[in-house]
Amino acid sequence: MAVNDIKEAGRSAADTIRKYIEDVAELRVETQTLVVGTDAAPQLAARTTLRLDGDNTTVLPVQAAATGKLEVDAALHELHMQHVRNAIEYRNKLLEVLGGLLRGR
Amino acid sequence: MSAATGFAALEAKVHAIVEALGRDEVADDSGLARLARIVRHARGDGEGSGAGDDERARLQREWSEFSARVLRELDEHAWVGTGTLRTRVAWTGDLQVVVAAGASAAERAAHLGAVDELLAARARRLRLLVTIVATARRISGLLVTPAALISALPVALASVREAHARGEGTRVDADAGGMSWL
Repeated sequence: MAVNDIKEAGRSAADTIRKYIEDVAELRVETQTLVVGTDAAPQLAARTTLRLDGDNTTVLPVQAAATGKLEVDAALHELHMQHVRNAIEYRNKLLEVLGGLLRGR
Repeated sequence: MSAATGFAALEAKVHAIVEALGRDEVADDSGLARLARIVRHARGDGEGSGAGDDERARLQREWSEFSARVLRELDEHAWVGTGTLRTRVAWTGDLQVVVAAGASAAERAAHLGAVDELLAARARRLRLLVTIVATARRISGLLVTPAALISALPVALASVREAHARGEGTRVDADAGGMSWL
């Protein structure tokens, strides 16, 4: 491998790693609802965004009750939160693995 | 054997291989002898034969194919499920769930299990990748050449494959269908 090839490979790897670190800084889980039998695009129902700096936001799924009061769609919310828990567990493993790399395990 | 135990066994095996290469103690172990030849060749000493060049070129090709596959997988999004209940999974763990009204509790539970399984497989693959990079870092110490780490990556992949072939950590690289990734 020529020196220029090695430099290029190193630069490319550094760019890739930088992009991955930026990607890891935020975890986003979105849940969309779909109406079967129509051409309508899925609609955003819930979104959770967790950032490494602790800046977290959640959009909850709600529906209007007979009284007109907005209520959380419990089943949809539970499905969303279970996905959030799965994603957090995976992200913890990912950070542990990346930490091992930085520690030179 | 759990994935964590499998990784500990695999990493111990890889560690032993690199230690043996460092001491050049390969005895009549053909697998180790092959790796030792490659390390000597990469270092520029030992036999400068055409066979050594061929073997290095083969390892380099295998590493290029493997790393290209890994980078492609990291860039791709995987879909779990189809139609009325599906989830798009990024390597970072970002999820996009699409659900239609009427999905039963059993369907939701099965779907969540499938998403969890995919995420677990990805976590294992990332750990395997880190094992290869950490092994390359140690092997680069044996090479003492310019860009030793880059030269060591193909040898590290071969060392991890050799350790894997020795019967330890058999679950660490298999996906849900039992397919090998390494």
